[in-house]
Amino acid sequence: MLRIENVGKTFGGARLFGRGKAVTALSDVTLHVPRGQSVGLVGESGSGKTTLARCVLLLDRVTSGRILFDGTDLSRLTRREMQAMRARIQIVFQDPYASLNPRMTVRDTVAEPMEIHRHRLKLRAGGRTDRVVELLERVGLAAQHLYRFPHEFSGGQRQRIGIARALASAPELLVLDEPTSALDVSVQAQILTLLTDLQAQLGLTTLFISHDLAVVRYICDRVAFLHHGRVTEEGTTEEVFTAPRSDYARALLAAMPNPDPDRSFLARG
Amino acid sequence: MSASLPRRRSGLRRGFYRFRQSVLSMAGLAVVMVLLLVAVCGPWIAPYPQDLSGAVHTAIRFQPPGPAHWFGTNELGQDVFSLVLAGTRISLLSGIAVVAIGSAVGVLIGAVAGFFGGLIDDGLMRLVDLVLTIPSLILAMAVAAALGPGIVNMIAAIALSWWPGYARLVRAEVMAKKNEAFVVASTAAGAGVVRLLWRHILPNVLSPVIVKMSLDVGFAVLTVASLGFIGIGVRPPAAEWGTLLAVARGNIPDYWWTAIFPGLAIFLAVFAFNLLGDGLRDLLDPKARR
Ligand SMILES: Nc1ncnc2c1ncn2[C@@H]1O[C@H](COP(=O)(O)OP(=O)(O)O)[C@@H](O)[C@H]1O
Ligand SMILES: [Mg+2]
Repeated sequence: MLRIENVGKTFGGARLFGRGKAVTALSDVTLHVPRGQSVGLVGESGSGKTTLARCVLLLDRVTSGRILFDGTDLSRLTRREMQAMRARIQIVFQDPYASLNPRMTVRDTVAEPMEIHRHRLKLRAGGRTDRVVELLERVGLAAQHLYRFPHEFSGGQRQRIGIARALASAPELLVLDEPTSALDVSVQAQILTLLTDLQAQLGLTTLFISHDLAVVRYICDRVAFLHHGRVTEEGTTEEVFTAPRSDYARALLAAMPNPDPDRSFLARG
Repeated sequence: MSASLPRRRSGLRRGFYRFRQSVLSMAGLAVVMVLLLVAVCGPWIAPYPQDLSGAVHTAIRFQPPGPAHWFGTNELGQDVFSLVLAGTRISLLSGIAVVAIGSAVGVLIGAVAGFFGGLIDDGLMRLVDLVLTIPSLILAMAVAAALGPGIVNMIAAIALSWWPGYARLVRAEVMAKKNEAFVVASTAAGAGVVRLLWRHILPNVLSPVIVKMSLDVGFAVLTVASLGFIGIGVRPPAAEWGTLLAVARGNIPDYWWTAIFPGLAIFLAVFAFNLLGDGLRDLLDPKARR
């Protein structure tokens, strides 16, 4: 469903009065996310994971290569088509403290994508509130939380609100950019369980960005390793974890604290 | 990070506490409330309303302050207390109008410049620099000379030199806020420019703007009075503090009360709005405390 083909991304340098050196965040990245599957993207900090996510979400333009969603090249969309595409691809951010508008109620935050895409979703204002309640219940919150503000919630609850917002426009692809790395360890497992449940219930396709190998092994069907903006290893989770081909993957796997993680990370919660 | 927002909230509560504890802030608020009340109903509570429509009482010219005329009478035998009360309306409302127009224009321009950046930003900020190089009183005098005197022209003239401060302030705030994750989230959900600015960015940059508005009303009142004083603002017989002061200039030092009370009114308004602004700064924008 999502095909990333030979994507490169360079920051800076191209300006008329170039400010310093150009930074190459991604080079020749190729990745396929099949419909209904969960693909893990693993890499250390600064390896370009968020940059790739931003390109998929049309927040940044790729410098080279192309990204296809359902066969359409994302860089060739008209404004109108781009707008429509944004209902179909959604993101959950890493930092649940920064990703919610402090001056907006939960209801307004979660209803916003429905307002923006109201012509496609065909929901009236009242229907939107009902749908917000439905989404809140789906992520483990309740109607009583509708008119509260973000500061009244814990980190885990905020991430649930962020997930509800991401689901509001009924997306087909969900990009999860380290959705648990800013949370307390005890809360991480709850959010991961929620995400796997949602994926099973809604048949979502997900691009799961993480630096936690155990989590990726548990959640994802396929895995890709990103190192300095390049994909160094890609395959089914089984292949990659049992027979890594690249030195980088081998080194990472060797450094894993628990080489045979069943669902042991759930026990941490 | 996880503690930053709860801290922010209790910071607001502490701010309220500090505001209430601060005698000066509360005094500023109280005086501003009284001034606003007088601005609304000044002409009705004036003890000698006929003096406001130009009645002349030659028999009681230059009475010193006393029980009948608290602030004395002027060269036409009019009650200075009534004139000062009535003047509150024009002085204060013009000051507020100047700040309202200036901040509306400045917020709009600053938001557009900060949000779009690039050439739009460069162009708008050069305009800001240009306007800032012209002293506001001179600019107001030029505009008043071009458009002719009158309250509306005067307000427009002062507002013209007032918006750049807001444009600069808001531009910086918008630039800082536009890359925050919640704005990016809304962009990713398909929000357009208007929604991003109106619902996400501007509500989060309003605090320093409100503080600046409160501080500015005082200075705007002073500017209005200055223009009245040099005779290109409000014309007599319409009562306005600066105009009252200008007329009274010929009466001092012998008949000091005709000048001192309009002067005190100006001083009180400027001082009160500044105290209020400082208090609001502590409350809404603690980072900017000096
Ligand atoms: N807007 C930007 N301008 C310049 N460099 C950037 C920008 N965004 C990211 N980078 C650079 O791209 C690289 C990858 O960053 P990022 O995608 O955030 O990594 P990750 O999410 O894997 O931690 C880093 O070296 C970072 O400094
Ligand atoms: Mg990242």
